[in-house]
Amino acid sequence: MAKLRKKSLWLLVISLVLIGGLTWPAAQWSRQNVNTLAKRHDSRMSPVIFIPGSSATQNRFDELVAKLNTKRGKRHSLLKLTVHENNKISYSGAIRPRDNEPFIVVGFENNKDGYNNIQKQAKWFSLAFNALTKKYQFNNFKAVGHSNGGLIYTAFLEDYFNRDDITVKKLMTIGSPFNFAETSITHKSQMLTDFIKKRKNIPTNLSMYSIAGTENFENDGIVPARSVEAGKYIYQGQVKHYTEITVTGDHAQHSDLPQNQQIVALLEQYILSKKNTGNTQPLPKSKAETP
Amino acid sequence: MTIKKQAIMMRLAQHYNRLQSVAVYQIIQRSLTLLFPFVLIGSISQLIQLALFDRNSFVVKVFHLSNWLSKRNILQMMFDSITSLTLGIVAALAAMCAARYTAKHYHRDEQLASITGLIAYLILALRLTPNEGLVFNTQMLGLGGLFFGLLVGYLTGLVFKKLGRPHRRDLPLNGSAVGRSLDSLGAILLVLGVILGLSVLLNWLAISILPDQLILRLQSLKANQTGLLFTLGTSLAATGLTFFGLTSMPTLAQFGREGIASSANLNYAFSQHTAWHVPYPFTLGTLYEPFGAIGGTGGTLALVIAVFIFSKQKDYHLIGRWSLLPVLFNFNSAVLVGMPIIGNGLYVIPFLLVPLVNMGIASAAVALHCMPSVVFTVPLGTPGLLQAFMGTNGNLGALAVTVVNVVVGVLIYKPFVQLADQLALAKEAA
Repeated sequence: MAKLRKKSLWLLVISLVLIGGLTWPAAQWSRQNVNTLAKRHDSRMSPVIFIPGSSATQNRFDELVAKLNTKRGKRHSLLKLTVHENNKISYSGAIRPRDNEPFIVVGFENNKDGYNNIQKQAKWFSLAFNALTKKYQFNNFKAVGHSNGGLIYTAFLEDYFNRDDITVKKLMTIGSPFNFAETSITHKSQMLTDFIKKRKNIPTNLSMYSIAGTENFENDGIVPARSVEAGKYIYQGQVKHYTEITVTGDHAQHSDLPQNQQIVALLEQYILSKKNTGNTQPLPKSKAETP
Repeated sequence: MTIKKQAIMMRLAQHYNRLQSVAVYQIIQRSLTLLFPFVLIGSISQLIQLALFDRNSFVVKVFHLSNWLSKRNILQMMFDSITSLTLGIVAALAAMCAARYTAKHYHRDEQLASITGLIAYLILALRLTPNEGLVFNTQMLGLGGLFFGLLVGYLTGLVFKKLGRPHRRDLPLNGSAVGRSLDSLGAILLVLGVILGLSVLLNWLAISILPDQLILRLQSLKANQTGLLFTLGTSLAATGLTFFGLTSMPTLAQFGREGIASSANLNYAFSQHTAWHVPYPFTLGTLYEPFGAIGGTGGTLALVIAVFIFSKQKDYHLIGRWSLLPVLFNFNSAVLVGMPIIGNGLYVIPFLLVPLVNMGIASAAVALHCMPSVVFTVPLGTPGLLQAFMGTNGNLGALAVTVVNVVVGVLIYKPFVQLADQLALAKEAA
């Protein structure tokens, strides 16, 4: 009888000592975790993260950024990331200190088209995104994807973005072919089927803007308007707002879309924070700008 | 005082003895004991999966192993499957065991009864969807469905009693057993027919017979959800339901985490950089998991320690030893099923009392400013003893309150463990 008890109690003591040994590392982790979370909570940074389409590099949005900065007084600094095939990330540009709304472009070494590549790119984007969240303590961001970039974002939101400490406030896709080159919704591509199946993973507090460009009544020269429209089967009813916008006229060709004046205006209106709200601190005007 | 206490214990022992002589009670206890090995394997696998191999788990976070882990997804999948196929189907297995023991009790064909019980419960858990293939309500199959599993099994056994013929002698393996199977065909058809009708009805009405949803619905109640009374009442209800095998632990944990109060507390803690004086110190999130359920529902860790110190029964010690590791990480299914605690009249009082007393002590400690409130989220599979400590960002006062809680829990369980010893001795003597 005594033996029975002795053995049980020894086991208990050993386990308790082991648990006790965990106390110190647990306290370390908890302190570090609370610090990071508190910093994130206090952070006022709200970056705009861009993903270019297939065959485009991290430099795809340079012209757009230049246009926006001319209009808005050079407030946004630009950081560019390239994720390589071996999961390594290279950086160019930098986020200026005290810039609360920096632009970040994430490009991929393998920027080829096709569902397989989009899945890979979504994974690479998640690596870049995690690296960014570790380095910068933002608690919300805005997302812009051109062409396949919108598809990569969709895959990312469905498969990889599962954080309660960071919210994605807005997503704008520009000419994103949610049903690839199909002109009819009755032919659903494998990708669209998968996207619809996993749509419940998309955050419900997101405002989504899907922009279609059209050169004629059918397409923007590359992407069918019907394919862009198919995005509603993924987002509509799942996100807070789903808005479709069709842009026509000058520079409404697929590859011109990011430089299109109307789209620049839409980005300003829907995605960026308003001028002179607390969120961004305008730089003191440089001498060159004062007349 | 001691005399009065003894008198109460005597009364309890009498009630317990009467309970033990009831056939249903024996059937349930026997069935649970038979399930123990599978539940144990399931809990250990669950422990490995959630505490070691999940990306958000305690060990991975504290020792920064997420990179190492990301290349080893297969490990998690393996243990996930083992857990799902042991702990995850325990209610269906319970239906099988209960049907078997009931049939045996009434001298009916136990083999056919057990298979019928299993199939009947699977039908009840079926979700009729337009998709191809079989889809089950996983909550119905798991520990939360144990009550209904046992019920379906028992009723199946009763149908066999009514419609089946008394057990013939065991037939030799090479002889024909068709006659024997045909004897029970009526009973099988009746059970499956009735249960199928019930299942279709449940699917058609789109309701679940599990009270889980009811508990979650409490959240939308207009009552003052942040008061101590609401917290204690909900914990009592959930612990009671667990005791009867009507719910499983995760429901209440989810309840505590998702409330408005917990995000308000967290916001306060982050913006004020302190967990002291949060707006809602007495909620489920701040009290139930870290203090009311150390070692799992009902403060199971205290029970295991009480068994180690006071029990003289070998079975208790062995079950306690095997279950100790999962219990330290708050996975207590093995103890609930093995001792067994579920439906065991002997332990109903301490099982319900320990969480309440412990949460009361913790509230008092917060009110007297001995420790801050537990507001920060802890990783999955954090040991019960460290939950309050980590949830207060490493406050030693919280750790001390946890230890006091365990000691008080042991003292509450002590007389009941000793009573179990006495009853076992008396039985042996008789």
